Amino acid sequence: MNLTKIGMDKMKKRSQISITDFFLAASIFVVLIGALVFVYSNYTAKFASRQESSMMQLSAIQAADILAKSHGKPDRWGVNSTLAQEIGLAQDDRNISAQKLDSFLNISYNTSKELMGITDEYHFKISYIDGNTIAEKGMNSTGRKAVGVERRVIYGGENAILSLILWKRDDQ
Amino acid sequence: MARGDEMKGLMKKGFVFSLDIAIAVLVTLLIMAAAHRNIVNAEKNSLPNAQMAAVGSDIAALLDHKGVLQTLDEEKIESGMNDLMPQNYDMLLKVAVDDGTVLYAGDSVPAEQFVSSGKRFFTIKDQASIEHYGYASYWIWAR
Repeated sequence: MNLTKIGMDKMKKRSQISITDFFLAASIFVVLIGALVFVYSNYTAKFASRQESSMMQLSAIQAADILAKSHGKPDRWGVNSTLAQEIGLAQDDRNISAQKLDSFLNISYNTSKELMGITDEYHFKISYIDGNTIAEKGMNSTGRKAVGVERRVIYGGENAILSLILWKRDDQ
Repeated sequence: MARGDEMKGLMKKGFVFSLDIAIAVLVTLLIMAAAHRNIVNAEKNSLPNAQMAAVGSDIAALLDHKGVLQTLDEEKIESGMNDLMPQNYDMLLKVAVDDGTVLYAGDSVPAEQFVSSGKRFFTIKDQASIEHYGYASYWIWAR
């Protein structure tokens, strides 16, 4: 009788330890998995946002570089803007042509986006170093994300700043 | 006595289980910390540096196009550079010509931050013929 009772006690204690151990391990496992899922989802969202910003910045840098340094295609597209295949505003390296700037301002917003090779919305501005605006085109940012680039250029023999802001609409 | 030995055995098993869990948790935390570190490093954005490099290149190009570099006048070069410099940047410009002239304009390069640099070659002409060849090295950094 006694032996049976001792045996039962031993088995109960063993199973108690096993169950406690199991619950402890399971709860730690669940906490760690929860932390992993939280961190993963957090980073995924941050990565996507970063990636989007980087792509926009790269696009802005390239578009501003082409505007400031390239003649565009064909070279004399400023004479007849309907022939334009690619927009570049330079008559020489970083020297902005008044004729090309005028033609650029007269091209429709959507066509200019296509010719600049950008998919985001943009706001273009060229101003003298003292801040006086020479010309503007595009829409000011009302969206959720915007990146800007500035280039130093010459316009009419004077130092000027060409600025290009790309931004995403809320639904983009 | 036998019962006491049995309890000790069970406690040892519990100890081994706890150690096992502790090691597993430690390994997981180490992996998560390493992943976090890598992610933070990957997030460092290098594109603002490209913008900085573009500003430096623009300033050197404009000083060349406007004939400021060709004056070989330290004051004029410094003044021209400052006119074009955005407020949040600083720059050092070294102008060297093949006759041995070397000029400096701007501040000294900081030791412990990112500095973008570049070089622009230019000519000094007399009428249509080239008199001298020179280069302008620039170092630009965020203020």
